[in-house]
Amino acid sequence: MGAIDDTTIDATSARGEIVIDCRGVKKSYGDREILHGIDLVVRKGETLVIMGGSGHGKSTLLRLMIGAERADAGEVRLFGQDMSVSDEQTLYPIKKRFGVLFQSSALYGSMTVGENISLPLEEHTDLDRKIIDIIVKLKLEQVGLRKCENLMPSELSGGMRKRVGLARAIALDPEIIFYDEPGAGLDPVVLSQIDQLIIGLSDKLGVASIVVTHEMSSAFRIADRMVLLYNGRIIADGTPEEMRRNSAVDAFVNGRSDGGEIGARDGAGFVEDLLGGK
Amino acid sequence: MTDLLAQVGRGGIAVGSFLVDFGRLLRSFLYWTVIAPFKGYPIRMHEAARQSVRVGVQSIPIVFLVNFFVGATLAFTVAEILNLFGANAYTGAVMGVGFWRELGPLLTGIVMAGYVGASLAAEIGTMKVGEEIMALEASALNPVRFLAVPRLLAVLAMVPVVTLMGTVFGIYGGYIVCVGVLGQNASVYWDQMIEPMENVDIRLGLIKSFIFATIVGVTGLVQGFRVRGGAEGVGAATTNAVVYSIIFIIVADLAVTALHYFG
Repeated sequence: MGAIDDTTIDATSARGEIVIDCRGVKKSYGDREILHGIDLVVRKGETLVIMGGSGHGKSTLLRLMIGAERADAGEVRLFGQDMSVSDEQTLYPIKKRFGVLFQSSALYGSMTVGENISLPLEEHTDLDRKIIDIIVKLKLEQVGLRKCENLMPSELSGGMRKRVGLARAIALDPEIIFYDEPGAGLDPVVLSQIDQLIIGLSDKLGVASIVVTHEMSSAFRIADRMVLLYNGRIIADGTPEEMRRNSAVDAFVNGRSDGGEIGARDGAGFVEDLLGGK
Repeated sequence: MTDLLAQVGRGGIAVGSFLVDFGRLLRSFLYWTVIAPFKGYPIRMHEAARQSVRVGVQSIPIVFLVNFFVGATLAFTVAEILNLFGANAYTGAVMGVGFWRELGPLLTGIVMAGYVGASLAAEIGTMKVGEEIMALEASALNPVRFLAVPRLLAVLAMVPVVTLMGTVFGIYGGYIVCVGVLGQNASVYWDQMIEPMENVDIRLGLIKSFIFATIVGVTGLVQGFRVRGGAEGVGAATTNAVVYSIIFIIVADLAVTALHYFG
């Protein structure tokens, strides 16, 4: 997965309906403009990796897509629905069609693993209790966990918490899964296992996956397509192979400041600032 | 002088902003308890019951301690003053009316501000920091319905009950001192406690306890939902929940008492 050429991309584009459509999206916090006009389209079944350094707008863009925040300008549409509407009941049918794996897993601490996963099923379906219990076991099996339904989140390791968070995210068989820094705090072995889960879910369930990360090895492993965010703008967009040939991406990946836009520092005035204007 | 004015202004804005959020949460609570159940969104009564154990049953020891010891302490002072007029037989009357109307609800309200209000702010604030609130919203689950409604129902149900118990504990603390230490007649104490009491005393106490319960519950929840940042934000929210609750409780207490007096 990941080494997709232009022909495959064209064929995919022709097949996959658009599930996420961002046009001219802007977002500010106070005087700080975080996103400066993002245009981004995601198609059904596509795994899109959003890369970028800390503070460049990756998580903000993800929060706008899931409706956790409203854009200041532009449009964010999921399945054609504008996510900035104020009536949350309008967004409920859309929210049931996607799942989110948060950076901290965001498991409900007062509930067991089983209760965490069954909560969306209890609230959004009319399934019998026994069926729900079976589905919980199936979802845990899908993420490589067994017999931990009665454990509390505080009793789990970091990797296990991520898996349970993922099992909860797929409880309703979503069409899109958002991953916010899925590798944060995980060792390379566990990170690789999470990557395999992401690839497996995309292959088996045909879901669109939007992965926000700055783990480069992971990004190139799982992506069908990648975008690089820098200072709230998309400065590169393409397949993993195209991105490897992009100088800005190369500079970011290798942590260099000679990539032109990325890492360039203006030294003028620094000494004056340091010495308090003297 | 300018700094003082600026501080007062900032404080006023902070309180005003808080009162807006207070009103919003209260309105949302009323929607999810009165209207939404008829639209297919039932109240999570099992969670409310679980929270009631936490708010009600587990708070009894601290409510007992505070009311009992304040009652005992007050009895010494009241008996000493009434003794000057040869009227210490009426200690029971002062303790009874004082606790039913005022001290029982006030002391219990302040204890609950610390015991329940701080706990609510810390719990909800920690969930906010840990993205659990966002996870609920992303799953098309309303955080007010899921988190606030069961907790506020528990507070509204349990605080008046605990207040009644606290009032009894306080009067009993006075009894122990008056009869056991100061040698007053037990029958006189109880008779004098009941004699001047009217329904209005109990009614006023219950009205106050319900108002204080609303203040404690909504303030704790609002502070929790407003948390920003990490542990520092949670700590600030916990402190603010207690401080705001206590201030609003004593202001509301004065307002209700004055309304009753002039009404």
